[in-house]
Amino acid sequence: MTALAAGKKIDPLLADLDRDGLAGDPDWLAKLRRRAAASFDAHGLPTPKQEAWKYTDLSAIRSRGYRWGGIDAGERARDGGDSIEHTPFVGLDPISIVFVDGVFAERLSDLGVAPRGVRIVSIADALSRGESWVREGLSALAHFEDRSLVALNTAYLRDGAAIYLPERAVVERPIHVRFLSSREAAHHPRMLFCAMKDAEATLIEDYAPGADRPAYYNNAVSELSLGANARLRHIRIENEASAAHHTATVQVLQRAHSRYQGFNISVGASLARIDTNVALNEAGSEAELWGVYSAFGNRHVDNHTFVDHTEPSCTSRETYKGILGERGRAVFNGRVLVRPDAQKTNAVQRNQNLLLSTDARVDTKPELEIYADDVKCAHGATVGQLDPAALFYLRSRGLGVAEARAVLSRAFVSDVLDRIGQETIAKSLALALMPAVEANGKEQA
Amino acid sequence: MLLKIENLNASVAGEPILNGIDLDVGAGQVHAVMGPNGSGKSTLAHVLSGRPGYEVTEGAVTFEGDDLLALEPEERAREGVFLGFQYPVEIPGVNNNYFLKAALNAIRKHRGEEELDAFDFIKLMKERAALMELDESLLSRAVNEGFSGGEKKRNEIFQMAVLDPKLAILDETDSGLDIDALRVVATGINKLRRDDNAIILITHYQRLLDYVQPDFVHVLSGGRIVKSGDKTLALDLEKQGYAWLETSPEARPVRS
Repeated sequence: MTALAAGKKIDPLLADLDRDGLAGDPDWLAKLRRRAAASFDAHGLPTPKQEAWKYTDLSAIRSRGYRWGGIDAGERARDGGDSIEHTPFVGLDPISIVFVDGVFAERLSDLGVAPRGVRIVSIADALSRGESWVREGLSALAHFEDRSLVALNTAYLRDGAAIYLPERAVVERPIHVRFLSSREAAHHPRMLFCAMKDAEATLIEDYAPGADRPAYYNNAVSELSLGANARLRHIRIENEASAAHHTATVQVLQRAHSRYQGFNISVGASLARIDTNVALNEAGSEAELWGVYSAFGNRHVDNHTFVDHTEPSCTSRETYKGILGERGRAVFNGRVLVRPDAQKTNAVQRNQNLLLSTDARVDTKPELEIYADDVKCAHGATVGQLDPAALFYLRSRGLGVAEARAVLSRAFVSDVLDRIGQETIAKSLALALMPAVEANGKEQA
Repeated sequence: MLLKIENLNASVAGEPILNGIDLDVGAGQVHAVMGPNGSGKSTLAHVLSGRPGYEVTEGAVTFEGDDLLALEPEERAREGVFLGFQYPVEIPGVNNNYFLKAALNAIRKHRGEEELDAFDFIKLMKERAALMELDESLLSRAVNEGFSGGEKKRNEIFQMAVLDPKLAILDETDSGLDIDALRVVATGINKLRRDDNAIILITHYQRLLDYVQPDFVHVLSGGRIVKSGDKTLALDLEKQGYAWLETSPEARPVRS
């Protein structure tokens, strides 16, 4: 083990650190990796003993015994991702940057022609070219000292997407970053997005299987910074294989009058935990957080959001909606912190859940902490069932029970999906929700 | 006989509401079922359409000779039974066009007909919307969401026009309508009358029957049909009200 000081020991999850592929780091990265590994080694994976992990137990990830460092170079060389099927969203025409098992796949990507000064590259490429903005950006927002999953990702950091928008750059085509996974291993995809003053873009970050029913673990970290008056629409889609595990940390930093609109869709992995942290760090910034999650079968999905109002006159609006059936399990924890200087804050948070079976369960908890006195804050959480009157209305017109339940379930989240503003994505997500919802309708019929 | 109801008894939450209804409805006929509040009119409509929570305790209903009560609500719809709701349900997030296309294609599939493609469906919708004087922009909105009372009722008859049922049970379709809306709805119903379908108009008031002339009028009281006649019976009711039911010995409800 070269990455850690000798004599300390060493979490098995770090055992792959001295393998190939991570050698040849620039000095600063080797140091960063070492610090992150030491931090992870000290804390290990979070456990339900920690308040923020009370309902979500990651021990299944550890016991799965993944190849923690991902696929090695030899295996990648034997099969350069050629067998991977890749179905882009039809009609989207994005700039696309695709990764297979955590590594850039040029064959599947279409980087097109970006506007002048815009950089859309793989992190590995940027590192090999010594691009300074990547060096400055990595770990600038997603600190690992008190978050061991970020530490694990940083320790194994190898590749991912790096996007830079200079001042006033407006990227019209959506930027589609896709992480496909096909092999039974742990991957640590990373995303770095940096928009300077007045820049604008739509960013789609999605996670999907690249083969038939693979079991794997993605531990993702995304760092997004918005300069003054910058605009970002960020559509994050966790549609992993149903046997997969997915943990993620999304860290957003907003400067004055910037606007972040985040859509966080989670419908796939058997276990998903997504931490979304937004820092409204300068006056007049606005964040909208929209979430849709579903849990059927034995799936477990946990969303933790944290909106940090540090400066005055910022706005945050948050709506997360969940559909749960069978023995599905969901957790929502939404923390909003209004610090003493954050006067004139406007913060709204809603979490709504639709329970389709008596065995499904949701734990929802809003946490508003307000230390300023001139603010408008509201929150609400609901858990409900399908409206029997609406169900009968649809059936009285000829729709079967399963279809009627599916139609009403999709309707429950349609206001969020419609807001995505990318019809092709909304439709594809509605379809992704369908099979589970329909199967559930049949079960109940 | 299209619909045959024999000694129908039904309860809601254990409370008997229908106490022995007999009614025959033949193709080409329009029957008006009238009666005071609480007489069981809407319960009859719901029992015929299969609404959960309405329990048939005795009797039989056949539709084209087959046992209607054995069917699920959606199966009844596919066989050609349509319920026009007294209170049409608002369903946010479900587009009217989408909903009707799914309904129509479920019914066509059941009949062994090909599903309509988007083009033919839109054509049909436009044609039937014009028939009902329904603003087409309503069709791209969510089902009944934000519709006025009149728009909701017109939307019911519009759905009937699209789905083309053999038997339509219209539950107080006239309630809450102003005179112009009533005229539009009634005109729509008249346009849908044919020799091979039938309509049961459930109504509290006679005024709808000025526009849609029934072949038969039945008076429901205490969960039984206490008097049947032709359309002149409705006019008598308009003059006398329902108070005579309380005093007329033949009209006294039978409670089990």
